[in-house]
Amino acid sequence: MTERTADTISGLFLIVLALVFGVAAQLLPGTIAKEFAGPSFMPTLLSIALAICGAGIVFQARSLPPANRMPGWFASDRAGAIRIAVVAGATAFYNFLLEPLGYLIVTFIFLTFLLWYLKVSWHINIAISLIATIGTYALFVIWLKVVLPMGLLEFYF
Amino acid sequence: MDIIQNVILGFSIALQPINLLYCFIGVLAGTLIGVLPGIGPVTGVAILIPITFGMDSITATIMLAGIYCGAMYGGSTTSILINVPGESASVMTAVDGYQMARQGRAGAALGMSAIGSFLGGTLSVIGLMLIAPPIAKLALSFGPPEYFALMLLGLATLTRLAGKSLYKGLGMGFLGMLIGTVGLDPVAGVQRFTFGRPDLLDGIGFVSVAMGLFALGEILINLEGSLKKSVYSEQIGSLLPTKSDWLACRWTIVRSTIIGFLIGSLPGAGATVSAFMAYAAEKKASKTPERFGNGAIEGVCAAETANNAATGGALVPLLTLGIPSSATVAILMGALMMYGLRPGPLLLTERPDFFWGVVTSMYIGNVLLLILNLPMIGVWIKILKVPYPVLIPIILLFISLGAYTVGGSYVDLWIMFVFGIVGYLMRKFDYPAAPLLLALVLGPIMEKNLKLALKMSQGSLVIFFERPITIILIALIAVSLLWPLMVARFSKGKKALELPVVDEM
Repeated sequence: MTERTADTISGLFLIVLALVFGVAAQLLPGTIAKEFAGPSFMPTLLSIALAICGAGIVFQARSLPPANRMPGWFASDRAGAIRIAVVAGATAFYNFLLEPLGYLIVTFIFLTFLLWYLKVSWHINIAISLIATIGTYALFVIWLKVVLPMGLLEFYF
Repeated sequence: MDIIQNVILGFSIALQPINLLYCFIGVLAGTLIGVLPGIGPVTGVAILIPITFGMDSITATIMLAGIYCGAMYGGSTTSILINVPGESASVMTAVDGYQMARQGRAGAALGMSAIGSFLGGTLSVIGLMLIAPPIAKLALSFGPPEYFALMLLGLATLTRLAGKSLYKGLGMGFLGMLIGTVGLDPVAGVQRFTFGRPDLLDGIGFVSVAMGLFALGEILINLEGSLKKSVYSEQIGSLLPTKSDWLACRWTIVRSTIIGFLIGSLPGAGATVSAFMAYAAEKKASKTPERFGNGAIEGVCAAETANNAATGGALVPLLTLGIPSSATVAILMGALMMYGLRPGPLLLTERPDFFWGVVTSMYIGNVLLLILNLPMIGVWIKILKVPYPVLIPIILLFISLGAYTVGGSYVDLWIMFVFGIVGYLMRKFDYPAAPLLLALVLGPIMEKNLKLALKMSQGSLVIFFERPITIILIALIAVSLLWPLMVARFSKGKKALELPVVDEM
């Protein structure tokens, strides 16, 4: 992707975001008390400022040389893109399953899966997953008395 | 001699065995975080906040300050040995440090960076001790208009220093403030953009945002390309710098400490810009500037001294005005508020034990770092060799745990996740993350002070131009925004000083 395209896309995105916030701010309820700057004052002002910045980015992008490529964008890095999607997906699943399955089960599965996916040998994988799961449980739940969801194992803890 | 009594009070607290122990754990964990590429001080402090739960507020803050100082120290090791800065403040260390390692002088580079860090760190703590009390005294007379103008100045310098494009820096600042409006209106108490969710009434937790933007975003970026790294494994050489190294660096340390402390205390500048400025100043002052970039020890010394001197400087606005000057300090501020403390001018008078205990512990932390780091270089090199595929899942686990335990709800886990994706995209599209985070912290305080100021003046903006301190602050805001234009006008044809993108401070 060229710098010009990247800045145009991101600038337009900021304008759209500003519009959404700006419209939402107008729908906010007012107050009965006399206010010099009501609840919608700041969001409206900031939406306008953000839209101006977005427009500035789009405008500046037009003066960039069309051949300038964005650093860090490799068309051929499919493997990297898949790795990012898998790791982000695993993190999302972790968030989803933390409550129903419980910390111990979901953390062990999460670590084992990611270490397997990132090609760490099975011995090290199982050792790290077990030690990290039990170690963090001991540190946070037993020592620091943090309440973590136990899910399926709720009955035993 | 108030200050001597206060320092004695501070040492009596910092030298208590429990505080010494946690200071030691903090600097050790901080160095480890600094050594590991991919996690810097922001992430380090954020993921270790849950560990401080249940501790006394002084002990907890001593540990977090230790992590902060330690991470600055540790960052130099990776810069010198593998040319990969452990955090962005060490970028300038890598320039000459790695060249020195290639010339077989890695030991001298590591040694000088440790000594420079120690001197920069300790001298800046002394600066903090001297400068904080008068500023806090002055700040006691500040009302809402002064606070509003002060925060506006912070945001103005931040967006100026945050990257190449003014619009991108400013845009991220406004976006951060906009996100900061989620929750209850600070004066009227009306719900804004909460979708009826009670867990959003307090707003979007900035610790989760920081973990997402800086930690998850950084991990996702690291997953691109090759996951392999090579550690420079040639002979490290003697860790003690030679006599000529000392002679070359003696004024470098003085200059870089002053630059680091002053720039570090500016809101928005932080350690990265300090290191960059000190390096540029040293290159300018040198009789042989051509050596810079080819293994000049003054380059390593300048960058490391300045980024550690910035740690003391960065705490000045936090502890005296309640304004964070960098992303890491914003996280520290969040932690202090979680411990029930209110950073600001009253902290010094209401909790002198806290202020002086923490500040003197930073002095002890710097001594511990010097004693620890040089003999442990071998251990850090071994840790450097831990492969990314092993580190990534463990860091991910810690940030998820951190977001959940600090925020205390599932919403925070999702906020961390969403901002992780946003952080990744921001890196891809070349947007600075620090202005977003700082504006998120400053936005609600700024809005509250603006509304209170307008209440005082019955809605008139004239109040900002009637009070001497606000007039000075507004003039400074104008200068900070117009400065680049003036520099461009007066230095026609000369190459302007280009600042690095401040991603993590």
